[in-house]
Amino acid sequence: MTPADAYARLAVHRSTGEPTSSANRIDREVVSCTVELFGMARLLAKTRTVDLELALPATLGRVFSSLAEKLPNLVGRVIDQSKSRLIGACACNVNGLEFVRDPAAEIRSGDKVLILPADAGG
Amino acid sequence: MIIYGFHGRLLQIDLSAGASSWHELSERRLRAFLGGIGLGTSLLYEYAPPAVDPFSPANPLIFTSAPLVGTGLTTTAKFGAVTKSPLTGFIGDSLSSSHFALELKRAGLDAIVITGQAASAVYLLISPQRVEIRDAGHLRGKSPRETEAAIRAELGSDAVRVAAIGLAGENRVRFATISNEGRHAGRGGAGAVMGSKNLKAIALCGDGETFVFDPDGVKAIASSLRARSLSAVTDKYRHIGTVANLAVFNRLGVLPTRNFQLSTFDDSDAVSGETLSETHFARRHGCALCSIRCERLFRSLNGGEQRLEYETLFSLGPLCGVNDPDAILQAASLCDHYGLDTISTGGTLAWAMECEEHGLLTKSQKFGLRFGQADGVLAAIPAIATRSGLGDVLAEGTRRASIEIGGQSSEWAMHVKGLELPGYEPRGLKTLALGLAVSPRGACHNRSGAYEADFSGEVDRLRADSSRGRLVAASEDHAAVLDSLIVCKFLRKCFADFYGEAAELLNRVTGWDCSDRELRRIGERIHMLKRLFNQREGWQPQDDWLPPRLLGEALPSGVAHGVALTAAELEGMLRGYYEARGLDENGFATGGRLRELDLSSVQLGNALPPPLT
Repeated sequence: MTPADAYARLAVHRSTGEPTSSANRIDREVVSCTVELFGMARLLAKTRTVDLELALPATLGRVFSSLAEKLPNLVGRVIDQSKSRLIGACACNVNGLEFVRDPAAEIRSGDKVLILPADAGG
Repeated sequence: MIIYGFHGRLLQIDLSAGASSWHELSERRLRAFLGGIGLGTSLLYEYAPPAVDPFSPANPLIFTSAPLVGTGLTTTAKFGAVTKSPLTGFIGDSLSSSHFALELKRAGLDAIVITGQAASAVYLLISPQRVEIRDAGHLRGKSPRETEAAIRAELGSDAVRVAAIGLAGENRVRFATISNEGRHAGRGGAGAVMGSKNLKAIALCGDGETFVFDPDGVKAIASSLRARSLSAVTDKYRHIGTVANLAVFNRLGVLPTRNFQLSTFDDSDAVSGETLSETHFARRHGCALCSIRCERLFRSLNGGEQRLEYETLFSLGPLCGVNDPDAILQAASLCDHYGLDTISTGGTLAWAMECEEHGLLTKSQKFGLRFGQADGVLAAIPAIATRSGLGDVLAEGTRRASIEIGGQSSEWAMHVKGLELPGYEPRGLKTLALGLAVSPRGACHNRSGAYEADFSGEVDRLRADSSRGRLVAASEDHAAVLDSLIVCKFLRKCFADFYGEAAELLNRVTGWDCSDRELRRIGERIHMLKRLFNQREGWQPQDDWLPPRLLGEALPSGVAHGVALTAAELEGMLRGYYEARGLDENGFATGGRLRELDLSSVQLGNALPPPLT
């Protein structure tokens, strides 16, 4: 694979989410995604992943509010009190590729939503 | 005259002559460079003869305090150790922390400049009233911790604070540390310079007071910063520690593995911070006066406790393909025992493992140096410290060792300017890539936080562009101010307006009227002086460059597999950086920018400051 091929592949991932099979991309009433938890979020949740089904329109803000319903102890420590954003100490990345902050950002079926520490200092 | 926040004096010790003298430090210099790394850089430029051999008695080993040290502010118990690095041949500036830093300030000085070479092993006992050069023959071969305990017992005082070298420093291993209280001035081999002077340790005992201009104002800011340091912003450091990076970096495909041949580690779960927290956690610890207390001590197989940071975990774990947390803890313990920088140790061993794969290291069979073989790592570390067999070659670091071993081994020698890379994969973090290439002390993740842009979404971490130059320069200046005040970088996100708040804090301590603009300029000045030092010591444009592997091979694994960093992309980012810095197109400092930074007017000759009378 050449670097150009790699960038083209990543561009596809970014526009459609992962995986890219058409079965997961057809319009449905709900969008399925998986939240992957790291750092504090994982310690608090006592789990690594949470599967969510989001009503349309599926947005990042809806991911956080749904997650807050399932794991209320994340509110205030990971998810802010509005339940539509993360607190400043946490960051969100979609599919391991793109850091996203906008609660209105669209989430597609099959997306992996990563919740990470915002600080990468080591 | 009182200079609030400082003592206004420097102690110079000539080990060859067995003499010491006190010198005045002008307020002008202190305001221009603050303390810590800034003050150390200015003293290095002045005291190091041009082109001095790092192991020459003339190479100064400089310890510096800083204006915020001793004020009670959280995370400020730190000191600088600056010298010409035997690993890079350029500036070697390191920080360490805790009680030794507080005692350095109480010793009534802002800096110690050590030159010369003792005829036999000695240690220094320094207080505000006296300087003693004492025999250390009985301390030879001891670890830093053993040395600290022995000196305190010998002096009959637990109040004495000690920084020492281990066997690696005595044997001039080029990445040896200076260690105190389990912490290390680690990168660049200051411990080897100390060893070359036959200086085993420095013991401090002081009762000097630091006067601040506005004690109530400082107290109020200290209280506010302490409260902020306990907010969610520092959750990662307080609840998991830096080891939390490993699982995150693996998921993002930027965890250097098997000497940067891979960017993900199949066994990352076995050694992740989250796993270690569940299986090996012993207790949390912190530096003196620190409210964050990021240190994590983990239980080791021998029943003891071992401190482990991300960089140590990455370098002795995935970088060497090792997936056994007990072995990693044991290797970390060995590095601490001998006084070895864990990043360079792991980096050098990983390079040697790849040499073994290519059939270049027949002598290494006795170590079993192969990726994933923990026994080889555990056998090689003592050999490096004692310079035994192949360990003597590895003790030189990857750059020199690759010249010695030959073949194509320089192709996988993962260093910049001779300093081994930290645990961030540059091909998947393009801003960081530029930051590593241009860092004056070599591949360093601490003298700029360039990776922050990549992890924030502010830029596309997988693509390079010339705008990164401005981001890296700003990050370097920020780090220079933090490292010179000194404030721990783990507090940096607790400031809403760093330069404004830091200037206010500095003014409350010193009585100055420093503006946020002036503080920014100080950061830039400090950074520029580091470049000037390197330039004087022979820096050439090709030194601001990355190892061949990073520019010739695409990422082979992880979410960004196939992504590459080309030489043309790096050149483009470099042009943006040099332009942002006001350097010429080849990266050399120009007179105009130096004048703007008041560097052409600063006293930078080789004359000593006037002695105190």
